[in-house]
Amino acid sequence: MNKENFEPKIIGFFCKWCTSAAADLAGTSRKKYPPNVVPIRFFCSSRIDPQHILHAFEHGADGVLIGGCHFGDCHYQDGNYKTARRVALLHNLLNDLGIDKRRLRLEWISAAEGEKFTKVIQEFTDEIKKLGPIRGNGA
Amino acid sequence: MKIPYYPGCTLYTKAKPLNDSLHASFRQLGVELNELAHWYCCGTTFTLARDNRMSLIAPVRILAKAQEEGDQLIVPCSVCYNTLKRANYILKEDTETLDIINEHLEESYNVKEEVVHPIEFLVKNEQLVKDNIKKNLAGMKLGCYYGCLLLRPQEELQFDDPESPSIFENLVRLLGATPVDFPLKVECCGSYLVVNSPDAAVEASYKLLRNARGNGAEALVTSCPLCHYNLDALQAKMKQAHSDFQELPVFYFSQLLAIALGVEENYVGLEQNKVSPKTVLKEHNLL
Amino acid sequence: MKNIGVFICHCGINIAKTVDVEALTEEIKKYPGVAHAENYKYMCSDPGQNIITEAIKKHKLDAIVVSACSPTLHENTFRNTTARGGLNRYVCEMANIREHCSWVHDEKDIATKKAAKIIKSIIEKVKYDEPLDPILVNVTKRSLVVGGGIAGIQAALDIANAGVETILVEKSPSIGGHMIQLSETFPTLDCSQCIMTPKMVEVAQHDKITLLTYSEVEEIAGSVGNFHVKIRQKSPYIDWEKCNGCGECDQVCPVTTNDEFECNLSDRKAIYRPFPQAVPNRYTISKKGHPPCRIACPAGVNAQGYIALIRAGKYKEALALEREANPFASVCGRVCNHPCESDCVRGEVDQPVAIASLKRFAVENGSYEFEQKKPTGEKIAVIGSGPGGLSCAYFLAKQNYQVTVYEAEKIVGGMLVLGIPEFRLPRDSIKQDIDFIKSFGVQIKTGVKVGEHVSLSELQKEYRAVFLATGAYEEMKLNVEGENLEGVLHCIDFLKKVNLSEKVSLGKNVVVIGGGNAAVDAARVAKREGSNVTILYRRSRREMPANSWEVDEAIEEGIKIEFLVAPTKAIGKDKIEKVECIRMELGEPDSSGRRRPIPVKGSEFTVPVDNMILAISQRPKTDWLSSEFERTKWGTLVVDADTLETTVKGVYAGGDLVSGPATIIEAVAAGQKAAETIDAKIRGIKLERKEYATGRPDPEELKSIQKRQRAQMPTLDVSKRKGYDEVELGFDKESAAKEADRCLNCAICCECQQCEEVCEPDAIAHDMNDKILEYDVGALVVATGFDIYEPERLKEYGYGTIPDVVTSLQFERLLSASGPTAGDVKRPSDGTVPKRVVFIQCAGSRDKENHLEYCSKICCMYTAKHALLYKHRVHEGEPIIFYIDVRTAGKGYEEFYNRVTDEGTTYIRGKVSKVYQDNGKIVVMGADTLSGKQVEVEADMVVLAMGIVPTRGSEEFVRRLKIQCDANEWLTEAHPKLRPVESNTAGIFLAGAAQGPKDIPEVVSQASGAASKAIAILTQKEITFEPTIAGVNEDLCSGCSICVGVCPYNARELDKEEMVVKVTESLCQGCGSCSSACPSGAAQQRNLIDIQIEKMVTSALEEK
Repeated sequence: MNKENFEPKIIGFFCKWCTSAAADLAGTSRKKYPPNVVPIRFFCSSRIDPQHILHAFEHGADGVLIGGCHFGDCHYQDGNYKTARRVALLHNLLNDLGIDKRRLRLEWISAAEGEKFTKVIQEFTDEIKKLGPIRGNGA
Repeated sequence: MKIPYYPGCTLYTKAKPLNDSLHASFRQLGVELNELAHWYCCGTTFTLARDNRMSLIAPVRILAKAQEEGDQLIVPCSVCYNTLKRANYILKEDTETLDIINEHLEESYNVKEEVVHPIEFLVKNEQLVKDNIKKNLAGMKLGCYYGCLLLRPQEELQFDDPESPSIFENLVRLLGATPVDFPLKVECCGSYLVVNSPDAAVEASYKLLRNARGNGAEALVTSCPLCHYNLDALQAKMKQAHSDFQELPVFYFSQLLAIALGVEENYVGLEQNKVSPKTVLKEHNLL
Repeated sequence: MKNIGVFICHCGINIAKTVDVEALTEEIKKYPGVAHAENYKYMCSDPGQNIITEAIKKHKLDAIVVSACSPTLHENTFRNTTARGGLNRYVCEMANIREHCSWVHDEKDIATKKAAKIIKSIIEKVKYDEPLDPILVNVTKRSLVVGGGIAGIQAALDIANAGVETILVEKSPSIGGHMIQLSETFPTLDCSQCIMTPKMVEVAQHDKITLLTYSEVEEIAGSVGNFHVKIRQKSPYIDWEKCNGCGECDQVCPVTTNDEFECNLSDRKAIYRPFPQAVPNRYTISKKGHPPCRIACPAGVNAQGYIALIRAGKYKEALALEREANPFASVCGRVCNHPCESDCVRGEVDQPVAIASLKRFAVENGSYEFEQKKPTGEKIAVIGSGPGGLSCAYFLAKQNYQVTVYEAEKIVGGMLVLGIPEFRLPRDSIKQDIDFIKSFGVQIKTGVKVGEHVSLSELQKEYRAVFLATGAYEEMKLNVEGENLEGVLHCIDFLKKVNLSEKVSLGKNVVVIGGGNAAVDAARVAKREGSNVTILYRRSRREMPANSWEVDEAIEEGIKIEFLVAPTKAIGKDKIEKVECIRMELGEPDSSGRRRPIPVKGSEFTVPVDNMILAISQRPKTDWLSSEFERTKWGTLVVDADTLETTVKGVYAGGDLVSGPATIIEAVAAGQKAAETIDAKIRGIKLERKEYATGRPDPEELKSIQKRQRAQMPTLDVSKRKGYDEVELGFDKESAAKEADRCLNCAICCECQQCEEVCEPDAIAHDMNDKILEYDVGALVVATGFDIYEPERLKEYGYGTIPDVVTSLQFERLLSASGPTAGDVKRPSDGTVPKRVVFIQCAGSRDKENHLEYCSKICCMYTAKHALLYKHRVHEGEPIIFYIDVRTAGKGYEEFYNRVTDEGTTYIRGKVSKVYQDNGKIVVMGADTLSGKQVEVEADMVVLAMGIVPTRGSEEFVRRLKIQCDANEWLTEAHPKLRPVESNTAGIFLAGAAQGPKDIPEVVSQASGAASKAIAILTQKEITFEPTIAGVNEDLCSGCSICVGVCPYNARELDKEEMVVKVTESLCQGCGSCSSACPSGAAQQRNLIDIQIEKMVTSALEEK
């Protein structure tokens, strides 16, 4: 695939209380951002198992974006802490698996941060574009 | 017994009586205070800014030099004691700063040198002192003035309880005198203000002396050269500012120790006191 | 494979403008699993929803996907629609193609492509969705409110008024908390008691409220709707059903202790009511168990009791109490070795209380009316009229048994008379006690030797039981050469002769061999008979078993003692002339634990003597007893340690006969014990011994006690000690009162029983036990309140050392009309009215480095109030307040503060660095930051506005409930803004200061809020919970319990028997943490299982 017209496929794992609500707000505010991220909604970012992330990469996701609540705001007390730890460990393993760890991004976006959500989608999409597809041109 | 000794700058000048009487009295106890072969000014104030590494260099050099001569360092000046001990405290935790400083110096310091105040040494070796007392201080009523720098910050210095310390009183009792407790014994004497706001220092020290005398003290005992200066040398100014002021002689603890251990009068340095303590000593048949 | 119906909404042009809904519909129709797809302008409208319900029927759909706006808006709407269509609501999902798609993209084909992906992923999800039923939990219609302050009271009343049964638990004897301690409340200056007591009474009288005071929650299990609680109701030692609060007991109780309600500004009695309007209005006894003195006494004499009575001037009652456990009050008051004094806690402060001498004082000053009694019960025989035998007789006679005592000698009293010299124990004293015992109808036959004049077997036949107490008076031999020479006397023999006034002639020089009491007695007697006396003892003074005060008196009387010397032989022709001795040194300890004396070779020396008195030891004479009676290897009798029965049935034994030479009080104890056994046996009831538990002050509490000298026993001048006049003269009333006052009242209530005597309804019950009550409740409200920060931690303010530095709570009591000074502001030190009072705000609060970082919220307002009230009471008084800020954020608060400053209170902005005493005045050293100067203010009184902390001990309680508290131990709310009255545990609600500092109006609001939350649960038969929770596939679960630790709600627990994890569904909030943590996939969140997620991902990544 040509890098110039490469359109990344990105999966977004978003928690319903914060990031998903921020996405809603971005929509209500009619912000515009690239369409590459397909959102999948969870009750809490701590539901995200590293195996889901690896499954995404395995099935062609060029990038995975995880969105949860800021520390202290988790609707379920400390789910986001667990997510942070898991993603930190997984980041360390991704290189061993031959995946550029920049392809996995963890962001804390509160329900009021529609602006931030937009920015993150834009930035991450651009970054993955630069990194290229996960298969073919190398990781 | 020989122990490394760090005098600090004032001990050869304004605080010479402290130096002389300390050496002489420790000699009576069979302890030779070995002045460090190389020593420098300690810096006199401990930096509050944690990233100001420059001001840690002096303490580290001194302690590194002391390490070569023994693992305990006797430091009589309260200011030097405060500076050196606190340097030890933060460098124990902050190994990064320690590495940087060690890199810059010829010497290398491992934060293992123990900084000891002579009073701490005496109180730990009670029996040695008791066995060598020649003249009991005969119930002389002494106010023990601690000042600030020996006690605070408590966690870093661990000298004694900062609100109601008693180590000094224990020493005084050991020598046969009667310690007099007065509430302002841990309050500031005016410290450096004597340089640029002398009136403030005069007021502060005046309050202390008045409080001590009011509680029955015949004389004050202290250990810090700066406190001693403020409390002793400024008494003339106190008299000018307050007509009801009554003079009170101020001893260095080592002077009393020397007298109790039978040291010759020459070495006790009583002449240098602006307010002569000879009267009160004569009253108690100690001269 | 499901029959999925997909319904795509245009949302007007919101979606349709940028998403080609027609093309999309066509594409989706072809997607596997989709049975029907259609689009409509407004899916959420009535016609739109009808489309769905019709389609369900028509196409036999079994799952629904609505592609429209955000589920936050309409998930519920469409799930209801689905339910109306006859399907389970949880098989309906929404795909957000508006906020997440049509509104954020411009180009139609891009947006449509993305919309397709979104919808397809949701279709994949719904394929695995299971129909779920909401979780139903039965609700027990009862609530528990923990804490009886204003928060708990308000919550309880609200819940009860909603028709729900409520239990209110409070750990003090009365409800009221801290609010009832206040004088007036800000900003209205309402009298606190006036507004609170009606509420308290309402609680007590409410038919739906069960009030349990003096109680604590001990255990809690279960979850919302179904909690099971265990409540410990502590014993007040008073039956509250009977107590009518008359207060007669208060008048007669002799023990005073600190009054906690008055913040230690005054004392209260051991029997007390916290305050006059207490609810319930009943008395309580503070009892810490039993004091160490009583436990140390072998006979369990109630020492604290009689000392308290002596202190109160009740000598008659003291004497009666002494004699309850020991008839030999006069004897023991003089010669007991008082083990009680060795354990006396006062000894940890200065010197033990002179317990024995006080006992004697009561005997000499307490009156007693002799009443000759005639028992009519079974006959018991006692052999030996020493302290052991006579005590046993006394205890049995008190229980109406007819006791006959057989005594071999002509006089009564055993060793008391024969062994103890009169200058220690006058005959009259012994007679006093013996007469007392005889008044209970005890018969004593003297001059009758059992085994000679009458046989034991005869007695066994005639009497129901026999108690042997013949003592130990056979001398042990020294086994030295010359022991049988004339002039070598044996101690007991010697003392007996002297005591019976038989002639004993002693020479000039007498040595006494031995170190026990008998040796010392013999030495002192020999001295009085005119000899020069030397005691030779083979060990050192430290090992001497004689009472040390007796040894002191002996030395005072001129008796010499030579330590580390032992005799080797007595030398003389027919009569002793010399004693050869050898010096000893101490080696390793022997079996008695004392260092063994070892002779020093070659150190022999001789001493000329006229008499040598041997006082080494004694043993019992048992040759008159048959071999059926087992003996120990030392020749004493073997008995059962518990019942004191010998190896012959029906024959009991005690005292020196069993133990070897011991003490009087041990003999008394043996007599007591045997009497209890015999009585139980005869009545055929279970033998019950009184159980003791030690109660005493903590070592911390002892630090503040001022040292006082122990009263000196006046003694006969040494020059007068020639004859046998009593040496110790006894206390006078003043000394006794002072000495009794040194007693620390270790157990507080001493069981002196004075209260019992005056209680008409007979409500006192000293043997009461705690009760454990169990209840099922549906919800809890925790309202455990606050305490003040320890003022001693602020050393620079001098609390505890300067008497007129008080806390704010203490000042409230001083201001209170019902307080210790009836509302007059008086200095605790001298009771004078302070003319200038300095108030220090933020004492302990807002101090990040050393104390509490937070602001305690209420202090600015109550300090302003204190200043105002002080000014009202003392018109010329000068209140000065040192402050950092003045926080008046409440209705009417700023206005109140203005009033306070207008009416003459001075506010100085600056912290106080030191409070000290100078020339009798209190000096407050602070700063005035607005003028930039240091200030020193002389004050008559200083009031510290102490910071507040959660009630002490509540952290432990909170852990039991498994709710959280923060770093400062305030209870944590579920959400600081939106859920302030709920804890993280469903069904447990928070109210009042326990959740954080707040003032009374806020507390009351919060209490009602918590109550309403509780009512919402409790007024329903069942409550439902969302079923999208995490379950456990028990087949896959290995019991590793990783999920248990991960759950923030404690919803999962390992079942140790089945080794699988079980879920409490009502607690699970459905976050899914466990599902991702579970290594085996046993934990899965319903309708968001792993395969759903994977399918959603895969389909979102597919290219068309």
